[in-house]
Amino acid sequence: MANLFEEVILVEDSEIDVFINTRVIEQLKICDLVVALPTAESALEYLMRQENQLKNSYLIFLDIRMPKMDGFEFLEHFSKLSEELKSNVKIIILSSTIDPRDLESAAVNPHVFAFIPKPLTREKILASKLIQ
Amino acid sequence: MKQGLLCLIHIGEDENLLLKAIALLEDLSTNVKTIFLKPEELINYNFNGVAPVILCSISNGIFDWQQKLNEIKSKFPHCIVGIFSEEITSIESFAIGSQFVLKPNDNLGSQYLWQIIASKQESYENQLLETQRLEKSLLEIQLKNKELEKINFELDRFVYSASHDLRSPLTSVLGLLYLLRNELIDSESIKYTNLMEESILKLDNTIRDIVTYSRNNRTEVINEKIKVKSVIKECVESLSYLTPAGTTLEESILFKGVEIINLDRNRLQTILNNLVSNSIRYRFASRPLKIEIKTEIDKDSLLLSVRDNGIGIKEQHLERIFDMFYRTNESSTGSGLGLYIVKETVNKLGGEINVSSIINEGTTFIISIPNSN
Repeated sequence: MANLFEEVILVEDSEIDVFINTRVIEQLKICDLVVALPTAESALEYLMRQENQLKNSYLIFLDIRMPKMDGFEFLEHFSKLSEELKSNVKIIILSSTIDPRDLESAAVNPHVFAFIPKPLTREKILASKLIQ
Repeated sequence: MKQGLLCLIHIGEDENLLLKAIALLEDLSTNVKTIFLKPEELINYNFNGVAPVILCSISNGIFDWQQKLNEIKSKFPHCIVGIFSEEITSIESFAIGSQFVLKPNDNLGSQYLWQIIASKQESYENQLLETQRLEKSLLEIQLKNKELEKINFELDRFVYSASHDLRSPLTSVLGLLYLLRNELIDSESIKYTNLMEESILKLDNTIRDIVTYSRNNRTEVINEKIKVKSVIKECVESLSYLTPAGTTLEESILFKGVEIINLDRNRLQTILNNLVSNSIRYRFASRPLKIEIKTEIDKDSLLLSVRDNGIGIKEQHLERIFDMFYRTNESSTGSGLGLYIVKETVNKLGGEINVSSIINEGTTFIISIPNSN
């Protein structure tokens, strides 16, 4: 399954969760590189910097509840990025929320590929049909 | 008392009668505010919310006065309308809805007129006070309602933020245990991680139950057309992860009647999730788990039964299993809220729930919920 994605980006403010997610992703061997960004703002800046040297495929694990900008605000800004970048990115929401409004918002957002309830596990990634 | 309002209308050409009418009004004018209008002026006159006594002075020989009076009556239904005339009799005037008749040079009659105006004014003032009182309390109710809506909204946000913050560390620990278990080989350590996981899942369930309970209590029932079949299938599928490896789950789902019902989807899910997860949790260890879900829908109601072949519930507990925090034994892994939530949710939907159980054989819950069509 190597090289399914060139890069996985974790938008995650919890250091422990970054550790867990990185381990699970590494064990599944779906990418060359895992990048963790602690805020939605820094993730947006990071993506905008990628525009010049765009890779073929990114997978983003996006947390919803983060200080300052939350996951849904991130998605709003994301929708304004270039079509080329957007078409190379898949976004999975990864959160501990059980608020039905969050689940609903995630379900109707065109940029969200899937919603995975935390914790991230190999089985949940496989069940998300990300990997055919 | 405030001044009453008397409106004089003169119908016809008889100047003499008009003068007499004005003289009568002058007698009253210290206590009563009087205005004089022509018939054509009256019809479009704005009394600014005051309902006056309208006195129509009608000259002899006017034949269409009945029609004019009817016009005035229908235009000002809340006014008292009377007639000032030499020749029109009481019977004639009452027949078309006039409420009193005054004759010129009738002093007793003018005192009577004054009394009418006074009582009219009094009842009008009372009405006004009552209206003001009602408007004030309506305003208070609206304010209180707004306040409650705001509190409810904030509470809802608080409940979900708090549940998220409580669950976050739990999901982190679950993630770490998941990683740890993949690296462990000795069975003793694996057993510890399993027990830790079990404890954390139990705490997580309690948090979820409290959130569901609070949501059921506070939120309005939202009915929509739903396919019960797919709600049940989704529910069973989403809970199948609870069945431990090596346990087979045989589910049979039977449907009767129409397919679609008008019902609150979230609440139906809450009921099903709790009952089905109970069946899985309290299965009989040494036999394959069977869950049979039956529904029967007609235009009036949904009849839902969930039957399992689990450990069953002792008769002495049956009466109390819907109580808050009631658990049948100390080692029970539930929060003691599940069936309480089911009952509360069924109640909120205006339905009923019944249970029957035979120890070591299984339990059946039967629910009937009105179809809100």
